[in-house]
Amino acid sequence: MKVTVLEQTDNTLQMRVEEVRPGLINAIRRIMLAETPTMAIEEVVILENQSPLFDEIIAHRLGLVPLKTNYDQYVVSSDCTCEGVGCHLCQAGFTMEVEAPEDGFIATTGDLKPQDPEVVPVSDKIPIAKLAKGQRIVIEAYARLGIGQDHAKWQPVSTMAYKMIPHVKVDTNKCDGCKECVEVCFRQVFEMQKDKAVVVDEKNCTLCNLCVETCDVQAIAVSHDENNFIVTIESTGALPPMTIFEKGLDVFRKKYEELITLLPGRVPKVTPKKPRAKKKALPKKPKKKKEPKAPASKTKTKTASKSKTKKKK
Amino acid sequence: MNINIIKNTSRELELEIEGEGHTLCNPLREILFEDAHLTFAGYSVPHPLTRSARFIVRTDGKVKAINSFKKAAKKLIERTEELRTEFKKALKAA
Ligand code: SF4
Ligand code: SF4
Ligand SMILES: [Zn+2]
Repeated sequence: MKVTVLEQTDNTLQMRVEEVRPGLINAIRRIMLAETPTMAIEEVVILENQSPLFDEIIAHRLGLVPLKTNYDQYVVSSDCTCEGVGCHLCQAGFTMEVEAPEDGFIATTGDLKPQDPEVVPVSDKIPIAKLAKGQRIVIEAYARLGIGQDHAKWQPVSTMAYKMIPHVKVDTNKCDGCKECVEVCFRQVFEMQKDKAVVVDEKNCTLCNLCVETCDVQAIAVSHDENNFIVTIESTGALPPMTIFEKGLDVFRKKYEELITLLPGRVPKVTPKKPRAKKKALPKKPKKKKEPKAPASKTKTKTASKSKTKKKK
Repeated sequence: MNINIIKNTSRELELEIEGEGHTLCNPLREILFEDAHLTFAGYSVPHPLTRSARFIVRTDGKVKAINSFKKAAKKLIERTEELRTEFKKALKAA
């Protein structure tokens, strides 16, 4: 395995990952999209809404606002001591009170006042509603941790994609300089140099095979590596892409750890006739012991110390 | 995640994994193919909305199917950790 970072900005990360099986990288992609938790607004209390939009549209728009996520402070509310009711350990509050000073005023995420300064919208310019002079919106909103599998608003990445590393070769002895490949390739992989097609940007190739089909003298060969990938992560801003990747690996790892503990330790000889009754009893044991312990202890110790500062009645 | 074992003999393991789908099963199946004693490994997701998968592993009998299955899961954990170290190294180098 080998990883090389190709490009890195605040919200994007492109890297080359070599000698990895496609199933592994694809599972990690799926986890980053659907099972890596982030915060998003889940509950909205509308106290006043004079805007032309229905309450539920405003609530929906608020839900889709990407929020900066802080894993250390919050727990998933279903694992929380409040048992999913919602408390300061598992949800972050926002308030918003706007009155349009003039026609065409746009209420944005900048008007959302966060109670926790670490859980804020990634941008304060996201529009929520356009108002006429004097119209008011007064709301309370609560953000919770969740996963993309339940709703896309909890997805930490706008894309996470990978492609196999392409290889494009031109046989200069066969090439007759007809230029057709240069014209047909929409990713500008080829250029004409001294009447021969030359590969100038191999990485950009999408493996569409158009050039191979177009070349009348079969001078082009396009192939790809099965186990080497270019991976691109584009964050919504909720978390830095590096954190998303690492958290994704954590989630992935935990799945298999859980799987191993759920499987029976010693292999009992089971007659295939009555499998259900026996087997259900077996996997239960390790599960019961493990599950409540791990999350409960975490939530209590980690958050209890911090909760003092931000207690809410 | 919840597991119902449907068949568990030395040569064959068949189980239902509730609450999981392709994300869990596909890498497992891929790693299982590297096992020399394996004769068959496959899974199906009967319906995409029910979040459950059925996994079948068959071996030549020299290794118990369930042990092959566990070994594959362990291998995957190791590879994840390898990927994590490589990733950290790459971030430092960048
Ligand atoms: S299409 Fe084939 S022959 Fe024509 S320039 Fe490209 S490589 Fe050469
Ligand atoms: S396979 Fe498609 S993208 Fe790649 S070089 Fe040929 S035409 Fe361009
Ligand atoms: Zn709570």
